[in-house]
Amino acid sequence: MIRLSVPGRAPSASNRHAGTAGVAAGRCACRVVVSGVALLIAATAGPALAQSTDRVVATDGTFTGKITAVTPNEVQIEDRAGEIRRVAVDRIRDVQFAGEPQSLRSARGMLSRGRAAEALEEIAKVEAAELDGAEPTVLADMDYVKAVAAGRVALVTGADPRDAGRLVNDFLQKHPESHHLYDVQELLGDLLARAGRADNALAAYSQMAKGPPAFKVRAAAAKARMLLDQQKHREALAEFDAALAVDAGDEASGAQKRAAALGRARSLIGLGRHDDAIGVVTTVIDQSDPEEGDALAAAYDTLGVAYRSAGRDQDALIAFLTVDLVYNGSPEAHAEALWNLVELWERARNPERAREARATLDASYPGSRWAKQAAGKSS
Amino acid sequence: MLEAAVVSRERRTRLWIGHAALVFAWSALLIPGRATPAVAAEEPSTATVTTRRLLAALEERRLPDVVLWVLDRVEADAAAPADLKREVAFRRAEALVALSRGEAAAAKRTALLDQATAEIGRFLATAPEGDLAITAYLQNGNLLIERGRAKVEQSKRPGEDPARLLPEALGFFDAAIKVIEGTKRKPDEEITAVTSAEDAVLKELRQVDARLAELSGGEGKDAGEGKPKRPPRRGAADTKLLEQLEQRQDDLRGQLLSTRLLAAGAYFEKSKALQPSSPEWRVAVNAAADRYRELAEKYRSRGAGLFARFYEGRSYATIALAESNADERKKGLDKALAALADIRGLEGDSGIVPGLRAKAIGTSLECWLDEKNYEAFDERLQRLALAAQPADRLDADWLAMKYRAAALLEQRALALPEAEKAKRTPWLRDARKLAQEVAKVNKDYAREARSLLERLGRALPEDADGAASFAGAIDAARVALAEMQSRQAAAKQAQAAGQPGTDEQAAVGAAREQALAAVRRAIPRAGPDDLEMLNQARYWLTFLLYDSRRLHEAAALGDFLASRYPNAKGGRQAATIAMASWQQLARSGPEEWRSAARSQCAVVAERIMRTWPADAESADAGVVAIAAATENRDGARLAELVARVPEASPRRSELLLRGGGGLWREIQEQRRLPTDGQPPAERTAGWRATAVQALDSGLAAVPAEAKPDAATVAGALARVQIALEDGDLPLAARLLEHPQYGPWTVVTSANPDTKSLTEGTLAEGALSVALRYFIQASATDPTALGKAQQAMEQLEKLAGTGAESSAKLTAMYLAMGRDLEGQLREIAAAGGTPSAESQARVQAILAGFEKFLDGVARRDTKTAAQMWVATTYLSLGSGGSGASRAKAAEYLDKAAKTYEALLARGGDEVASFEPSLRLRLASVSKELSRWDEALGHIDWVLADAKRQNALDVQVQAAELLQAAGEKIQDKARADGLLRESIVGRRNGASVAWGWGGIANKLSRQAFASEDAKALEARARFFEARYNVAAIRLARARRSDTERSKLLDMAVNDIAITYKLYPGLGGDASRARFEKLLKEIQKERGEANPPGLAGLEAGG
Repeated sequence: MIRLSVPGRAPSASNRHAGTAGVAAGRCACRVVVSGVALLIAATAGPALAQSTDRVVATDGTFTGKITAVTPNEVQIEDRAGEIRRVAVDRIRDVQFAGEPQSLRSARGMLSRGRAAEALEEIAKVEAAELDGAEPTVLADMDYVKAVAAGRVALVTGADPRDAGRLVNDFLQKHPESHHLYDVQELLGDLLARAGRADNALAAYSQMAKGPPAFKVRAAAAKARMLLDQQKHREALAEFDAALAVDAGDEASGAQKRAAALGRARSLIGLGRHDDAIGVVTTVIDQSDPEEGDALAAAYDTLGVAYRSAGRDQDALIAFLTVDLVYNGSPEAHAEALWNLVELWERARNPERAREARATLDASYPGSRWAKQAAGKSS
Repeated sequence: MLEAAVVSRERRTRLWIGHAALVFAWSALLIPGRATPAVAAEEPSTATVTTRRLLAALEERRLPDVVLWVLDRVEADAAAPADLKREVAFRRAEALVALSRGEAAAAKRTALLDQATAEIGRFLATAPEGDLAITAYLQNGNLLIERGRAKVEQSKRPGEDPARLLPEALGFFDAAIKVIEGTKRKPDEEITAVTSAEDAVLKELRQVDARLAELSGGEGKDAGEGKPKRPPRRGAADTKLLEQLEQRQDDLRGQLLSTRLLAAGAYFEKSKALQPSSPEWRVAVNAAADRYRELAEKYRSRGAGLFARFYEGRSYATIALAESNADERKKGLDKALAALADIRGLEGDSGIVPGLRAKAIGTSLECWLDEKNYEAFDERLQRLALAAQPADRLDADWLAMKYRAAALLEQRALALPEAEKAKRTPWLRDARKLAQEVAKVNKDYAREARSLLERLGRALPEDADGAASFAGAIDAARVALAEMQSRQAAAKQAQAAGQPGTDEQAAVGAAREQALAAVRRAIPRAGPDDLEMLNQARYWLTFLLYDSRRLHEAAALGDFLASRYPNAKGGRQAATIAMASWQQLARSGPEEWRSAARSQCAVVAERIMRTWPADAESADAGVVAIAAATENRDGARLAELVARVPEASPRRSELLLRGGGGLWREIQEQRRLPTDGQPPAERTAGWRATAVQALDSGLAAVPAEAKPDAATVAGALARVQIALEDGDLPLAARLLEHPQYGPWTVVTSANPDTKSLTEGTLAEGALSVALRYFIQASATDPTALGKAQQAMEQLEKLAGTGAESSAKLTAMYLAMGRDLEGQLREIAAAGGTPSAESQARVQAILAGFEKFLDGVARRDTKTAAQMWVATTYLSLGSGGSGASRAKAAEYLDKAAKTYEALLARGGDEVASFEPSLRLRLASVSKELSRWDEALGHIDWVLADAKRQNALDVQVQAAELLQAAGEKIQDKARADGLLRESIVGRRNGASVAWGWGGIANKLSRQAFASEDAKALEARARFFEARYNVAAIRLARARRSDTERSKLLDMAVNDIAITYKLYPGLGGDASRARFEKLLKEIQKERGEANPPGLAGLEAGG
C-alpha cells in the first residue's frame, strides 16, 4: 500500500497497459500528497497497479513467471530460470495474469467463494480502457467470469436458465482451449438440466470426463446429481456409485469422491435409508480435513437432512447449527442450513431463534432459492 | 493435544460463574491464559475438532440448551475421544449455570444450580488435577458463595424465614471454603490427594518448580514461590522450555493468589449469615481479615495486594462497627481507616483503580458517619463520589459510596451552626444529586436514598432526566415497581395483623398505576438492541395489567409474549397470566364474550402444553385445555391432548384420567346421535382405544398414598363403564371396589375426607353404574343383589325429598336405562351381525335386569322404586336394547301397567309425579301404537299453561302427532294429525306448538350467540325445520288433491331456511336437507333433481 504512494513508480515491462497503469499510479500519488486517507481509498477503489508476473495458484503451491500455454487440461508457466512447469487443471485454484484488471481478479475470487451475484457486480466495474490491448487469456477470463457468474446466479435464484445458457455456450465456442473448459461444461450441463434438457445435459457432463481423473469423478457425480434433482434416487445412487468407482487416487479426485459420497447419502435419504446415509456422511467427515470448510458445510448439511428425514430433529438442529456457526463460508450450504434452522426452530417451539435464522437468511442470501422457499412458506 | 491445550486455556480464561463477585473478577484478571506446554500427541479427528468448535460457538452465542444436547451426544458416543469426554461434566455445569440465568422461576433456577454443582463434582471425581480441575474447584467455590449470598439476600425479604434460610446459606459457605481452601497444611507437606483448589494449584506449581529447578541444574532452590536462577548456558530447546515453564509458574502463582483471595472472601460472606457480634461471627470475620492481611503484605506491589488491602480494611470496619465498647470501636475504626487510606489515595481512572477506590471510599464513609467525622470527606473524595458513572457500572459498592456520601453531606450540613447556614446549600444540593442517582438505579440503598430525598424535601421526579432513554425509563419503572411491591408487602402485613385498611389498598392501587405508567413510558423507547430488556418490560406490563384486572389487555400482551418470545425471561409466566386472564373472562367477563374467552383460553393452554411440556404450568394448562375440549365436545382434540401428556408431567395421572374420561363421555354422546349423524365407526373405535389406554395409564399412575379426588374417581368410573360394555365383569368389579379410588368404595365410605364425593352428579353416576354392575353380577354372585338394592336406595336418597326430587330421580333412572341400552346395543352390534354369543350375552343381561326389576316391583312399593322399574322397562322396550320384538312389547306393557298402577294409586306423592308419569305413559303408548291414549296423556300435560312452555314436552307432542299421522290408516285423520304436527293443535286447554311453532320459538335463541345453549337451540331449530318439510312431503305423497301445492310448500320450507341460514346447521344437517330436497324435487317430476344448487340458481 505504501509503495503505491511512490510517485512515478514504473510499471512492469511485461505489462501491456503500462501507460494506463502509470497514469493511474500517478493519480494515486497525487492524492497521497493531499491525504493519507485518500490514498487508502484510492488504492482500494481505483484501478490497481497490475502485478508484473503471471501466477498459478495450485493445491501444492504458487508458481510465478510467464504463462506460456493454456489448454483444457493444463496451464504451463515459465519461471525466471526458464524452466516450464505444467500444472494440471485439477490442481489449479486460480490463474492470475499480469496486468489483468483488479476487478477481474476480485470477481474470480468471489466466484470461487460461491458469491456469483457479487462477482457479476464486480466484473461490471472493469472499464473498457483497462482492456485495451489485453492478452487473449485475460479477455477469455472476462468472458468466463461473465458467463459463469450469470449461470450460477440463474441456478441459485431459479431464474430462466436460457439467457445464461447462451453466454455459457458462447464462451465454450469462443474459448475451446480455456483451462476453465471443464468447469464451464459442468455449468452448461447444470443449466441444461434445469431447463429440462436432460440428454443435452448428459452430453455436456460427458465432455468433462475427457479431463484429468478428478473431472471423471465430477462428470459421473454431476450426472448423478441431475438424477437426484429429478427425484430418481435409485438411478442417482447407481451413478454416484459409478463416480466413486472411478479408478483415481489423487488428492483432487479424493475431494471429488467425498463430494460424490455426499450425493450418494442424499440418494439414500431419498430412498428412506437414513441410517446408511448417516454412516456415509460420518465417513466423509472423518476423511475430511477440519479446514475444508466448504466440504464440511456440505457434509453437515447432508447429515442434517438425514437426521431430519429420520425424525431426529434435535440431531438435525445440531448438524445445521454446525454449518451456521462453524462452517458458514459456503453461501449455498449456509443458506440451506439457515432454511432448515428456520423450520426446525419453529418445530422446537423456539420462534425467536427461527426468526433470527430467517433474518440471517434474508439478509445474507436474499436472492437464494432457500430465502425464496422460506418466503413462499411464510406467505 | 494442542487443541486440548487451547481449550484448556479457554476454560481458564472464560470464567462463567460469579460475575457479581468481585473477588472472582479479580481472579479473572490474574489468570492470563497461557497453554500448558504442548506435548506431541495424535491429531484429533475432524469430528472432534468440529465438536469443540461448535461448543465454543454455542457458548459464545449463548445457546446453553444446545450445548447440553451436544454434550449428551458426546457422552453417548463411544468413538468420542477420552479427553473430550472428560470435559463433558465440566462443560455441562457451565451450560447449566448459563441456563439458570435465563430462568425466572426460583425453584427451577435452584434445581439447575444443584445440577451444575453435581456436574462439577462428577468432573472432579474423574479429573481432580490439572488446569481444568483448578478452574472447576474455583468455579464450584464461587458458585457456592453465590448461592449462599442468594440465600442471605432472600432471608432479608419480607415474609421469608431467616431461621431456615441462614443455616442453608451457612451450608453453602462452608462447602465453598472446603472446595477452595481445603484443609490447612504445612508449607512443605506433600499433597497426596487433591481435594480443593488450593491443593490443585499447589500441586501443579510444585511440579513446575521442581522441573524448573531440574532445568536450572539445581540452582533454583526456592521452590514454591521463589524464582529459580538460570544456568549460564543451555540449548535453544531448553531455553524455550524454560521460558514456557516460567510463564506457567507465573500463571499458577496468579491462580494461587486468586484462590486465597476467594477463600478469604468466602469467610467474609459467611459472616453475613451469622448473628453479628456472635463468637462464630467474630471467627469468620477475623479469618477473612487475617487472610487478606497476609495477602496484602505479601503482594504489596501488585494489584492483588491492593484488593487484599481493601478487604482487610473492610473486615476491620465490620468488626469495629459491631463493637459496643466505645474505645474499642474507635480503635477498630481507626485501624480500618488506616488500611483503607492506601486505596482511597489511589489515583487514575483505568483498570481496577476506580472500582476499588469506590469500595474504599464507601467503607470509609461508613466509618466517618459512625464517628461523625464529616470533615474527613475532603473535596477530592467528594469529587470522586459525585462523578457520573454509566448505569451498568453502578453496582452495590458504587451505590454504597454514593448513598453514604449523600448521607454524610446531609449530616455535615445539618451540623453547621445557624450562623453558617449559607454554607449548607451546596452540600445539600450535592446530597440530593447523589441520592437521586442511587434511587433511580433502584437496587441497593434505593429505599434509604428515597427517604433521604424526602428528608431533603425533594422526591424523585416521576420522569427524571434519565428516563428520556430506554435505560433511564426502565430505571424509573424499576423504582415504581419496587415502590408498588413494598406497598403490597405493607398491605399484606397489615392484613396478617388483622388490620386490613382501605388506605393500604388505595396506596397499592396508586403505586400500581404509577408502575403501569412508568413501564408504558419505557416500552416505546426501546431500540433494536434492547430486546431482552424490552421483553422483560412487557412481562412487567402483563403482570401489572393482570394485577389491575385489565384482563383483556393482560391476556393479549401475555399471549403476544408467549407466542413471539416464549423463551424470553418471563415468557412462560406471561403465558400463564394470559391463560388465567382468559379463564377469568370466561367465568366472569361480559356474557357475550365468555364463549370467545373460553376458546382463547384453550388456545393459550395448548400453546403452553406444546411449548413447555414438562413444566408444572403445562400440567395446569393441560387441565384447562382438556376441560375446554370436553366442553366443546371436541373428541379429536381430546384424543390429541391425551396423546400429548408428557411422561414427566407432574400431574400426568390426573390429565390422563380427565382426558380419557372426557373422551369416553364424548363417545357416549356421539352414539346417541341419529345414525346418519354419527361419526365413522373407525374414528369412535380409535377414540375408545385412546380412552382405555389413557384411563389405564392414569389409574396406574395414581400415587399410592393419594387421597381419592373427583378426577380419579370419575376416571375409574369411566373405565368401569367400558369394562361393563366389554363384558369384563372382573375388571369392572376390581375398579368399582378398588380400596383407594373405587367409585363404589368412595360413595359408600364414611370417611370424612371423601364426603364431598358421596353427593352430586359423580355420586349419582357411580351409583347407577354400580347398580347396573351388581344386577349383571347377580347372575353369578348371590351377594350382588343386596348391593344392587343398596345402590338403588342410595340413589333415591341422593334424589332427596324436595319438590324436584321425582324429576331428578326419573332423570337418573333414564340415564341408567340409556346406558344399559347403549351397552346392550354395543354388544349386539359388535362385529356387525350379532353373533350367537353376543345375543346370548344380551339375553343374559336382560334376564338379570328383568328378574331384578320384577323383584323390586314386588318388594318395594315406594313411588320412586315403581317409577324406576317402569322407566327402565320403557328404555328396554323402546328398541335398540337387543330385545326381541315380543320381549320389547312385553317390557312396554309392563312399563305401562306400572305407570297406570301408580296413577291409579293417587295421593299427594303420585300427584307430584303425575306430569312425569303421563309423559312416560305417552311414550309407552306411542311405542305400543295406542295413539289415542298417548294423545290423551299429552293433552293432559299440555292443558296446564305452565307446562306449555316446556320445550321437551312440545317436542314430544310434535313427535307423537307426526308418528300417529304416519301410522294411522284413516287417511283423513292421518292427514289432520300430520298437519297438526306442523302447525300445532289445540284441544281444549291443551296447546301443542307443532314443529313450525317450535322452530319459530327457537329462532331467536338459536342465533343469538355461539354458546352451548345457543348451539343446542340451533340444532333443534334445524331439526324442526327439517321435520316441517319432511311432513309436507309425506302429506303430499298421500294427497290426491293437494299434492302439487304441498310439494311446493315443502320446497319453500327448505328454500326459506336455506336463504336465511345457508349453512343449514352444519355438514351433516345440510346433507339431510339436500337429500330431502332432492326427494321432493323428484316427487315433483324433476328428472335430475338439483338439490340445494337448484335453489341457488333461483329454481
